[in-house]
Amino acid sequence: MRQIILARIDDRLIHGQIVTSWCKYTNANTILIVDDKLNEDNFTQRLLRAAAPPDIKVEIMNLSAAALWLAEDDSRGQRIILLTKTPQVMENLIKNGIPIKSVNLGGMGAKAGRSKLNKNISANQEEVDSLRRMLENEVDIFYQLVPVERPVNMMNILKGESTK
Amino acid sequence: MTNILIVSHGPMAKGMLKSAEMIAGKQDKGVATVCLAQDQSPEYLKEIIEGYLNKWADTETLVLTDLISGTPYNVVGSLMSVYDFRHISGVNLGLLLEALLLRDSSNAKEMSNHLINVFPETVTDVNALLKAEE
Repeated sequence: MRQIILARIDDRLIHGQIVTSWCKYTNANTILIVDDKLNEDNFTQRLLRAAAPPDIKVEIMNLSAAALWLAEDDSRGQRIILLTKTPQVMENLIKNGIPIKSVNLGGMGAKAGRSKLNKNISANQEEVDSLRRMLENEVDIFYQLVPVERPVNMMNILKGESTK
Repeated sequence: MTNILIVSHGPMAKGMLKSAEMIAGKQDKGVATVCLAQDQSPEYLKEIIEGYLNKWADTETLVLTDLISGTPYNVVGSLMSVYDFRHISGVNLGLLLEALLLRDSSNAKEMSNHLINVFPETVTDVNALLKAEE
């Protein structure tokens, strides 16, 4: 099994907070983006790869390829930041046998159909349901934008939340 | 006349334009800023930026983003496959001033070439500069 040092839900994928803060804090050397749509979008892949720091390898895969790849043994000391845009993709990786015990809620911005969970995180009903199912399966879900902030456990907010 | 759109994390774009106007004078039409707030999604940012690109579809546009690999860069970059404009990432006040001074007389490509040429002069180690003058 390859080593995931941070599993993060963030609809911005690779961006300032990841590159300048999380990569350094976690000493990551690989970013894995799991996103079926991006996997088909060569232009945006080029854009993301061009901007990544030179010492970080960027892997972009669809869900099934990522589940197989993560399950492989690794002898090269990879330290992986796993990024998904939505909770459902993270949940599906767990269902596919990837042992993720802790999920960082880092960026789910306001858009149509979503309502606010806290100051900076918004989610629609399907996304809330997915987060709740992960909680029920004893996955720790914490909100934290950048490493210098204190992580906030999302259990109470999610248990009380219904976006109606 | 080339349009300029500045896109940043937080209020930098707006503040930078205000600061530039202290030096270059008040800018009229064709200069705009988009400031990404922490709670906004990339899709939302994309809609706002597309609004400007559509509005300016018949004229030249230069987009300046604050940081390579940041969300403004990612969102503006993703629109480069759809719209025709120039995009420089890593804007500072010196570069913005250069762009504002050129926009009357240059197209977007000339402006972006110029910005890349003058970029090293916009960042200076003043200690080294003084030492060289000794």
